[in-house]
Amino acid sequence: MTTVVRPPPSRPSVMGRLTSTDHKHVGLLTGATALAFFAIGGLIAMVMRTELAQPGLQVVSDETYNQLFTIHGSTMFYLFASPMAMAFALYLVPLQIGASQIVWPRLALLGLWLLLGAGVLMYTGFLLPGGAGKAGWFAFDPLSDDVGTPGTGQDLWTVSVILAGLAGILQAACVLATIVRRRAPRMTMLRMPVFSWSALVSVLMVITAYPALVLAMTLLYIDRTTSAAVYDGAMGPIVYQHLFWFFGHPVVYIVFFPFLGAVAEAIATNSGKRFFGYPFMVASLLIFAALSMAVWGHHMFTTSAIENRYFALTTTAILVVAGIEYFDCMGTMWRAKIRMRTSMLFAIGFLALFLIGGLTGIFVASPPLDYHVHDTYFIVGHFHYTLFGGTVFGMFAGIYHWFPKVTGRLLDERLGRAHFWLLVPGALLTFIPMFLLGHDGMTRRIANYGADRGWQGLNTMSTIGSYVIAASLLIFLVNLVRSLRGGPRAGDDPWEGQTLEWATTSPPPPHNFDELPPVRSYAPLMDLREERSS
Amino acid sequence: MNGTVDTARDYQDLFDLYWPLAVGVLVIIWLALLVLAVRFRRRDGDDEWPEQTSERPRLEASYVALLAVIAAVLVFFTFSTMGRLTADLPAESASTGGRSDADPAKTPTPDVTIDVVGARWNWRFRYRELGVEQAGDGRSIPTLVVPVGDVRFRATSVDVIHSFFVPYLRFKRDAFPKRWTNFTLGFREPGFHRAEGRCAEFCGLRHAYMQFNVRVLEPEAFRRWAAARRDGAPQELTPALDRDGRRR
Repeated sequence: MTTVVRPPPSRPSVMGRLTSTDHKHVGLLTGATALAFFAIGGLIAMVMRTELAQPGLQVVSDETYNQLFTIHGSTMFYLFASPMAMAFALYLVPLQIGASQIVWPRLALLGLWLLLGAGVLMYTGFLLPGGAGKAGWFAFDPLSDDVGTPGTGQDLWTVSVILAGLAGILQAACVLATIVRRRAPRMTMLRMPVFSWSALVSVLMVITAYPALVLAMTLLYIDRTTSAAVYDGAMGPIVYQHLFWFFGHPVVYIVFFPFLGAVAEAIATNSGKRFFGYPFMVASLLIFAALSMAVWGHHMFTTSAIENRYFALTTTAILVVAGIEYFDCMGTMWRAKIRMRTSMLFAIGFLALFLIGGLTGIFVASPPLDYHVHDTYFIVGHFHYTLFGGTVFGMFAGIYHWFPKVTGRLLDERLGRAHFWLLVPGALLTFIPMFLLGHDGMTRRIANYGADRGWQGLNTMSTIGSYVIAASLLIFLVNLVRSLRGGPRAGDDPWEGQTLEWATTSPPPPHNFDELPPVRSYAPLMDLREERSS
Repeated sequence: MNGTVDTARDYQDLFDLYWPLAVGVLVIIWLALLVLAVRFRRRDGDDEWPEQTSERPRLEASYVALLAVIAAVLVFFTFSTMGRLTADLPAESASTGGRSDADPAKTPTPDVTIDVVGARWNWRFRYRELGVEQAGDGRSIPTLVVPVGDVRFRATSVDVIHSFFVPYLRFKRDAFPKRWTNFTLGFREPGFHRAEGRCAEFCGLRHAYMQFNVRVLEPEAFRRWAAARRDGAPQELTPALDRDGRRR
């Protein structure tokens, strides 16, 4: 291979970074923005957990608590998880498929700016007399209309969600078009790495589901600000829920798949093996995405307004495709030579903790079971294992795996292990008690509960767990800052990677590749290694 | 025992299938992950690449078939419970389509339909046939008085969506404005459940305080209660939850 000598890159200005249309800059800034919102949403969660540690009101009022849980959920979905999924896709997909740039880079950049605007609007609410949005991240009508929740904070929240939805659509469209149009020569669809496939199904769902969110919120805004009573009919609230959950269920898979893909790459690389069962995995991702567009009604089992059997059937069927993903990840580890790097620890943590969310998900897919646990802390526990155990653990697997590629520097493994080994007990201690509380009838979205219920012990445990999570994330922050300031140089390919992004420099040059290796499978660098050794 | 509807038992029947299965799968996969992580760790100094098996299509297809069977079994039991589950039916059809262990020879349950009205942030229970109404005020929560046996409910709301939730019955239903939601609940044992009923759908500022008591009376006692209420006896109110988490 030829070595290309390049002058050291000059440090771009802040404005230069904010207006760069390089997919790596857009992806990185989107990811950094999302990570900042993750921190803010996490701090809000700690205030809520502190309030819930004992019965009665100690820290905040009911009014403030309603704003906090609304903004916590909204931040985590609209400003953290969905943008983070798009950030991973924007940064990595072009590299993995051997593209030099994305299609429509200005639209991707617009997505970033819309996201920043969405964040500013949502949080501006806290500065207003009536406070921020307080109708929940789902904002069911009529609670969210101008009578149910009057105030400019709720108006701003509604516009903020519209902007975040548009941001997602624009960035997803760029990723989708890039995959369709910019794959390197001989990079057929069935040679795309698993991460790129996971990003593809994720953006397909964004394109299909997010318009329903933008529509629901636009109608809500019209409903709130004009005399056009959009949702006022007897079926209005049901229509709103259909529109919202048509987005609201796929979104949990949209923010899950790219991180499942990250976990798959981390497992394959750390195992020193090609990913196991690739055709099954690709098929399962596609079927999973298709099924996930047909399960939204399971959020409405207790409305008596939908056909519960249909949604119970489609939802339970998801266990088949999810099971394939476990089989393939574990099949990759079978007879491997696993290097237990931090990315691998998080990948295993992802499989172990997401499983709790997945299995309880099958449980609540059965309507007679859901009639009891719906809208209780059981559900809160369930989806935190999918979103925290799944999305967040997968994101950390991805960050530890790709940080050297993105920054050219290594994260510290010792701090990484400390981060992991605190985060696992933290996640167990915080969310396991929620299943017991919910099963005992503790409902969601309450700041206060009766001292006579016997819920204090479990709630205190959960609160302590949330502090453990915070300590763990602080270690990650230290690790991040230390490495960015002067971590050891990573080199182009510190992990013996299998996919094309490891064949270029760290960080990659503006045009991504000086030279592309031949693509003969979904693990082109493994092909090269085998060729060289034989 | 009067009545045919037993939501708590329907829940428990399915729980007893789903929960052990979930815990079993969790333990198996966690053990498998542990074994894989320990057994196939790279030893120090071992620089050979591992054997590259990347597919076992037949094994995987059989596994997929097994998963499909598990899903089918779960759906079958869920559907058959839903077929028995009479809570969604009006009581007339519930008594014919319900469980076979109902004994029609026992004292018939008073024929009662209760209108449940949610209003921020209180519950109102109207007994139209009996001309009786129970309702909370700002500082007290009302008591839902029911006879042992099956009771028909119609739920609605005057403002936002509320959800009528009685944890010990393992049951909740949403109450929408401008719509009625019909369901039937079976009450098996006489007794008093303090602040057991609550609103499960977030409804704004005092959502956490929107609760009610449940008093289940023997049919005869229920008739006496209704007659007394009609004659002006006071309704049973208990203090709502206060900001210290107490009810006084």
